[in-house]
Amino acid sequence: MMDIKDDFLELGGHKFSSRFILGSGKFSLTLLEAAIKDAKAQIVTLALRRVNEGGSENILDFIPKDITILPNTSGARNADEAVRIAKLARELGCGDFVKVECIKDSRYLLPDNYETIKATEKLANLGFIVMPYMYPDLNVARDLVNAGAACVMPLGAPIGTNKGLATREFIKILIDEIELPVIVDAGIGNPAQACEAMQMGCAAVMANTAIATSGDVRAMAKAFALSIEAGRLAYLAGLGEISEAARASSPLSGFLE
Amino acid sequence: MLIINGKDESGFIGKSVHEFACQKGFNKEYMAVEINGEILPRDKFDSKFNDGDRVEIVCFVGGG
Repeated sequence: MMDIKDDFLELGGHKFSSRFILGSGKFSLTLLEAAIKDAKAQIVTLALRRVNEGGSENILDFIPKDITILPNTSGARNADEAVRIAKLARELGCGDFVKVECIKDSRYLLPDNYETIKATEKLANLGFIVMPYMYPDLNVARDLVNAGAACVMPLGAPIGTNKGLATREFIKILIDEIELPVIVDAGIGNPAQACEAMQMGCAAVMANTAIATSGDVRAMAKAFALSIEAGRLAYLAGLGEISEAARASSPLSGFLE
Repeated sequence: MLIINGKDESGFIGKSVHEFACQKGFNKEYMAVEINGEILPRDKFDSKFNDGDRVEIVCFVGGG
C-alpha cells in the first residue's frame, strides 16, 4: 500500500515531511506556537518591518527552533526592494530561504511577474533558496526555473480572500509542465480546497488567513494538516477515472429471480 | 540630522546602534540594521551614527 512515510518535499536541498507551509500573519502570538504544532508545519513564513518602540516581544520567541523560517519580501514593489528586504532578513540569521513577493497593485495584491523573475535571478545568484510568489503563467514559471528558483508559488486567488483555487486550470498546467515543486499560495480558504490542490499534484500548500481568522485556530490548523495529507496520499495513490456514463460497481449478472 | 526608521533621532548622533537599541528597549538579537543602504553586520553594532545617516532597523513580524 502507498505510504507517505518516506515522501518528502525537497526545497533547495532541504527535506520536509510536512507539505503545509503556514503563514504567521494575523495570529495572536500566544496561539501561534500551538497552531504550528497542530498544523504539523515545518516551514513558517514571516515578514520584515521596522522595529516598534517598547515592543520587547518578538515573534521568533513563539516559533519552535526546529521550524524553518521563510521570510517574505512583502512591501517590495520591485526586484531591487525585494533583494534589499531579503538581505536584511538573512542578516537576522534564520537561514537562506526567501519567499519573493513583488507587488505593485494594492487592491488585489497581485504579484508583478516581471519584477519577480528579476528578483529571483538576483537572489538565487546571492545563494538564496528562492520561493517566488507568482501569477500562474507557464512562460513566467519557465523563466523562474531558469532564474534559479527552488519552486514556484502560484496564487489560487488573491491574498486573504479565502476564495480557493480560482486559477485551478493554470496551476494544473504548471504542475504538468514544470519540474520544480508547485506550491499553491494565497487564496486557499478551507481544507477542502487545500486537499484539492494536493490531489491535483501540488507539492505543498501555503495558507494563513484561512486559519488565523477561523473560529478555532488550532482546530482549523489541524483540519488543514489532515486535508493536505489526505490530498497528497490520494495523489500518490492515483485517482480513479471520471466517466460520463454510469459504470456498475456490483456484478451485472447473477440477479435473483 | 539623523533619521532612524523615518524619524528625526538627531539626539543619537555620535551614539552607537547598541546604545540606541538599549535606550529604546529593542532586543539586538532580533534586529537587522541598514545604514545608508548598507547592511551593518551584527558584530558592528558598536558603530557610531553620523550626522546625515539614514538608518533602518527591522525585525521579523507575522506575515504570510
